[in-house]
Amino acid sequence: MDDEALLDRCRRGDRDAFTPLVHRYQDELYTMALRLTGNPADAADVVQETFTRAFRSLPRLRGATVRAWLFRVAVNCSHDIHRQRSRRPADPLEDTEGRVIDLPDPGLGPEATAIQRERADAIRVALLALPHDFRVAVVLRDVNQLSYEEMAEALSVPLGTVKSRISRARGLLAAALRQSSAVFPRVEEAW
Amino acid sequence: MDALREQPPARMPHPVRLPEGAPAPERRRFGLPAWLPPGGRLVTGLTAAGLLAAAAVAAVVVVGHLNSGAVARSSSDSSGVSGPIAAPLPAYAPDLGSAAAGAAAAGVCPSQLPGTDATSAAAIPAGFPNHTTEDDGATKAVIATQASGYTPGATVDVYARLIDDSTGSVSLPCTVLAGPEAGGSSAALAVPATETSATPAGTLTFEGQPVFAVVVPGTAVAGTTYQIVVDVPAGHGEATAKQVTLSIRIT
Repeated sequence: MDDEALLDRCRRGDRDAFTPLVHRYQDELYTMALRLTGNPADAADVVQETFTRAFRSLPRLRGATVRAWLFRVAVNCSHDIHRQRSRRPADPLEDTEGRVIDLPDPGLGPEATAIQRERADAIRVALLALPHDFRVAVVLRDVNQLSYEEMAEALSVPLGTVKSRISRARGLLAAALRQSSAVFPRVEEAW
Repeated sequence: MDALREQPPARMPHPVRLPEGAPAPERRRFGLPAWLPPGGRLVTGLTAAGLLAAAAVAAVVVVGHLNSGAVARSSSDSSGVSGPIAAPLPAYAPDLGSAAAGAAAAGVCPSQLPGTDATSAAAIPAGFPNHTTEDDGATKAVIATQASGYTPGATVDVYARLIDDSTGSVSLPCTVLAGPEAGGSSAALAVPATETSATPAGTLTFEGQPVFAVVVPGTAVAGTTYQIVVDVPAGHGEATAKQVTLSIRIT
């Protein structure tokens, strides 16, 4: 059943119709929130709050795709949680129960695993250094692969603003990552 | 960018818990305590409905003596602040949308206004320049306020009416003030941070019928936008419930 049909059932009071939407989008939203907040516990809170708000706001959804709408709510939740917890230091490697959640690829050796983790960390640091609007733009586009139209809908900004934010965000991110030996190893290190 | 795109997707580490009940906004209407369990709220609501019905009978008697044809505020209301002292008339639409289900249990809205002329009900009252009318051919929804900007703590007098196009019956809709949207901006897809039910002002009337009053939260931030949200229930030509909104700006 497609999103719109499920949404229609939700609007008619069918609680069970919301569950497939949660299953369909929770990982996608969690990935986005993790890239935006840099913290698994915060990201999980964002997803939980997103679905809670969405569940309560269903009757107000007008003329938007479910996906764009959920991303819009999630971006707002990320922003709220970021503001609330900006004073609390983040521990990006552990979830609320202290387990490492970015598990290494079992097919990689120890050295490759270390490189992979170092690279992920460099990307996380570079992303978090971006201004919020630019971080949101590059994550929605390059991590979650939203279309420009979906982004405009999710962010409530014109298409031109979406494109310019993506462009500037990519430029800033590329400049930051160029400084990282984890992402761009120097020649002598590569040898 | 390839380095970013190559990052593996993450998985939500624990299940999402949804609020209890059907998917609909959580609302408090007519001051029912939020801390009461659902059963308690229902019992309290039914009790309140009885009290409100009695108050409504009294209101009918008072209203019958008021001049009709224009918005009128009683002389006792010299402060300009309206209080929720009277209830809508106790005649209720039986087929409410999910958003109004909680209110239906309490029997408070929407409530029909028998004998009210549909044409005059659909007209915007003088002195209410901020208004919207939505007519989808089945139901006409009218919302109007006396200004488009309000300060935190101000009372907003809201003229709100539902007119059934097929029967010409007029009712007071379930009406709330919702907002601001999370994140502070305003847009069509509002995710309200708070909702406050509008209640009949009691002292302000239009053609002898109640005008709502709702107080802007004292914590409202200047520059944000709130929405006055009117529920249009299913039935009477409406296939599904929907909502009509009117924006006010916090100054």
